[in-house]
Amino acid sequence: MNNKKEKIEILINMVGRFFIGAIFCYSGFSKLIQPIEFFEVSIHFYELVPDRFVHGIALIIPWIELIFGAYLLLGYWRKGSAGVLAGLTGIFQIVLAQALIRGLSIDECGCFGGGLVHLTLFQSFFLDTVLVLTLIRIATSDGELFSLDRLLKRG
Amino acid sequence: MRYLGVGFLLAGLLISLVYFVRNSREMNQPISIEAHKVRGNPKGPVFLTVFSDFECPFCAEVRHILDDLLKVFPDTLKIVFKHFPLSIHEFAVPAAEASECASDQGQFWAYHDLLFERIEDLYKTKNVNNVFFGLAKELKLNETQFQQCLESGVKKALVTSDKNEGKKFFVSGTPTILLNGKKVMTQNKFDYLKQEIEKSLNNE
Repeated sequence: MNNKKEKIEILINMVGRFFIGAIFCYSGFSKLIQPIEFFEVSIHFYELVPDRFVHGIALIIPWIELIFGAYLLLGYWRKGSAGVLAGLTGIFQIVLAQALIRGLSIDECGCFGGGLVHLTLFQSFFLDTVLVLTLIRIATSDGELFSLDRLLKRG
Repeated sequence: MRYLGVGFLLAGLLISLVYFVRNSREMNQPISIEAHKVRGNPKGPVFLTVFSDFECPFCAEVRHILDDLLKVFPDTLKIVFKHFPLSIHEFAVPAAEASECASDQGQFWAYHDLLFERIEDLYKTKNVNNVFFGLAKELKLNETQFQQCLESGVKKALVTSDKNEGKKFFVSGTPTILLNGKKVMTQNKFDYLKQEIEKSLNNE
């Protein structure tokens, strides 16, 4: 019984890993292939970060999303990658929540750059909640399927 | 060591992929300029395109900054207005349509200014069209023509077209300002915009 439950849990974590890894890869990639200014504008809309930090943040976040998203997708440094992405998503949630509370004029969250996916602040907040919970689960669970970690014999 | 190597290899592959795709794409699509929504010198070599929403308080503020810039660069700058009504703003689309109806009578900018000043009136009425008609009356527009235009919804396509153009340029909020239809202005501050315009003029 326990064995079956464990297998289901591993399977759920694996699906979650693929799904979330793909989301972050897409999110980072779509921001990185467009001029950085677009993401800078999106950050400015949230009116939270001093101007002098905006460029640096716009430069770093998409790379974190892409690289750790790919790591998670492939199951490389699974726990660490899930932890990093959970932290990042937690920060996104704070940023989104303050924008929702302040009623800022933002039509679309800017989470996926100018890509095909366009989410409102509320939709994005909801998605991030699901992501954070799943990432925490991935980061704290053992056992895995189809992962580089397993292939490289490292937990 | 092998484990770390795999990580670096993966990161390297991703960085190469991004740079390859980035170099094969270029944002060089031209932005459309409609004469009735141009302020400043129509032949000015530098232009700012502002994607704006009448219900957006930041757009109302930016309007004054743009006016100040026109005073600094009277011969070299033109401002191009584009509608980008946000879906979170209930009256943004009808307000944009009303401004287009006013532009049929050559009063786009006068109506634009008045609308930004009186936007609060929209929240105090049960029929927003009455506010739009009132502003048209104040500007001495032909009321029948204005009313027919607004009620027919004939300007909806134009407003949508502006918004779609914004989306092509990855606009996601308002106000978004582009310099010469290409470079995205990351700040809506007078000094920053002035500096960017000067840089553009020096490169002419």
